[in-house]
Amino acid sequence: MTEPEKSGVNWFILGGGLGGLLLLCAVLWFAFGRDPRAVPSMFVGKPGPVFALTDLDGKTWDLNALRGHKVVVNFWSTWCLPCRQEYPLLQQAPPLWPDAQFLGVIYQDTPEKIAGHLARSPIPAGYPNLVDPKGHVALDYGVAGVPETFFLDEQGKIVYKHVGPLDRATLVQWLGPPKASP
Amino acid sequence: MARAPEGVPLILAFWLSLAEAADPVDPATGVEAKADLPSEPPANSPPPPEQVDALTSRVAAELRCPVCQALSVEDSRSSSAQNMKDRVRELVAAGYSDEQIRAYFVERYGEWVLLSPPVATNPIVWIGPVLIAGLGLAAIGWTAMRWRKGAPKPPPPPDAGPKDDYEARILAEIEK
Repeated sequence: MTEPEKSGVNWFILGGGLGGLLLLCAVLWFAFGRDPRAVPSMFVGKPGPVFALTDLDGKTWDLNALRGHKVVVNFWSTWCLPCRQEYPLLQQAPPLWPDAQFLGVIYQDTPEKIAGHLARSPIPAGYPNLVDPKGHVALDYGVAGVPETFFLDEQGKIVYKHVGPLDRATLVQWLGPPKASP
Repeated sequence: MARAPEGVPLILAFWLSLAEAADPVDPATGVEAKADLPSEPPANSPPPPEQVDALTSRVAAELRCPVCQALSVEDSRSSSAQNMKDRVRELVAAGYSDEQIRAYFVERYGEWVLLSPPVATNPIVWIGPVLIAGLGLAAIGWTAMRWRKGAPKPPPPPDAGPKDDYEARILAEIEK
């Protein structure tokens, strides 16, 4: 009775190779599911960096004074096309969410350009736009580009950071259903 | 010392109160902006003005530009990078050390902002390539050793005996 032929397969090497391949697939699956350009916020779940900035009319807005309200801080500029995409939605949002305070922070732009842009727009500005000299507040919030929008709860804690133009669904998700229809 | 706002550590509130006094008023807008500073006082005394640019470039070269993510803040010409570099220059001029400035940006952007990730928190990035290269060399060496020894010789075919009578008579004559 002859011995059965030994298999030519090295199971150790095959197992190691398959294991490495599965690991590589898992890494690629995870990596390709993420936006490589999205910079995560280090402050989600933590108090938002405090600031006190002046709007185009000269009024000072202190974040600490807005405790007790949900606050939406939107970093934007006139040279940013996605900012212009979200502009109509944002400017019309305050009456729909009257309990929330919307604030625009000017990013890498001049107050004169912002004022001119707002004056030319058929949609009037719905909330204050704040001047951020030297971009310190943008740096404090870890802003990598515009538009970026931070949602703060009543205790001043950042609950969500949105990168890119805002949409109505995101506003509803973090501010609740709108109180009134336009 | 100011009472710490809810949720803000007392030590941060202390330095924020100093920042309120230290932050300059922008002459163009008259804005007295409050901004966060590193949570610790400067480790060094302010450097001489002629050294600030070199020190700034040194730190900026270690930070990643958030827009041109393959470039350092020192090399990138994006507005974000310029913003960051200006902030680095301010912190350098105030006497903050390289480590403090790196920690300042890591606190706001995450370790991702460092072009060279720390070994302690990202060991796989540093050790992984070395490990894989080592495994590859070991596999090459093992394969080469097998080639030197040669492939195992196949066993001789079993003796099937003479095929016919003619071959049997020849074998018998040989054995005489």
